[in-house]
Amino acid sequence: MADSTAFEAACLCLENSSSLTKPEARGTIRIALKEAGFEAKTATPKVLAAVVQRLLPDELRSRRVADPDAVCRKIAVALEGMTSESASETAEAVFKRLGGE
Amino acid sequence: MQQLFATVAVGVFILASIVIGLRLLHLHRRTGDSPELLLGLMLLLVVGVGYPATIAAQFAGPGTARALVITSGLTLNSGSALLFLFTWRVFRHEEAWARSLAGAGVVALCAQAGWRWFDALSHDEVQFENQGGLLLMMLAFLWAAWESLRHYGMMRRRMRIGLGDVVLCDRFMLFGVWTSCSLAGVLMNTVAVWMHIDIRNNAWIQVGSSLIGLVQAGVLVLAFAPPRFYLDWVRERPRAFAS
Repeated sequence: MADSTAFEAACLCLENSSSLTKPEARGTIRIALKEAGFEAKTATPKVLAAVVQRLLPDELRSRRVADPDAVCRKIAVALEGMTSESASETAEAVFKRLGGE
Repeated sequence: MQQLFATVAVGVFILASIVIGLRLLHLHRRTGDSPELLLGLMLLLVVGVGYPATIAAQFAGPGTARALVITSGLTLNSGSALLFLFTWRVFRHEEAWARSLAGAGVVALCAQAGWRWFDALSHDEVQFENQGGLLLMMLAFLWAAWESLRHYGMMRRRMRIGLGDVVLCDRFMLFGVWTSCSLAGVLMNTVAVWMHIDIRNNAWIQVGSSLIGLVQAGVLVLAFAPPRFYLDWVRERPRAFAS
């Protein structure tokens, strides 16, 4: 299964805005997502935006990326206006329904 | 006293499973979606029919015991097959390896059920042992427990950054506990039979099985038919999940 469109957009923006290579940029965002309890395949723009705001700056600092806050702002702008692609039902949606919600 | 405790515990476990199973089937009637059908049928087959049939077979006369052994084999195996499909469908439906694992589990369980049926009919003595089926059942519970507890871990991390649903997080944990208890119960009985322990009369096995059954009944209800006071309590504890 391919990674989500929002993930791809965030990685491309990070690669273009920093000294990180493509694999480094993808790996960094993937690690931030994992730390937040998400996966690249199903990460929506809203999830990416929250992770970029709350976790990515520290990840970029640990990789000695210059001005991580500015880089994260650029990624947030790139994610604005993106809509979630229609995805197959998640485990969360199933368990929400099974519990009567 | 011990027998009474065991009887009550088994009764509570079976009753809770039937109630939740029927509730999930009722949900399926409304939604038409497969997970509620798979899980609801699994509960009814494994716990509603298979488990009682397995217990009853040990106390029944030869003719009735043979029928009960065949019934328990068919229902336990088909229920376990449904659990394989549920786990694939809910947690890994985009993954080819998971589809293969679920498919292999279903085929193996069908084959094992067929063999057990043939074996039961071709021997004069009733064959109670079902190590092959129990092994496959343990694999089904192990996979479901792994995926559910993995999702629990993911939900906890989401809670730390304010993106998680605390009730959902709790539900994954409860289902992980339920499947883990199921695995523990089957493993305990399998090892006991392998060691030629009389599981009908061994106090440790009876108490262990009873306690596991009561825990399973409790977490099943809390997961899929949670009372309002429990949900309110869970929602007041977001910090506990975030730590």
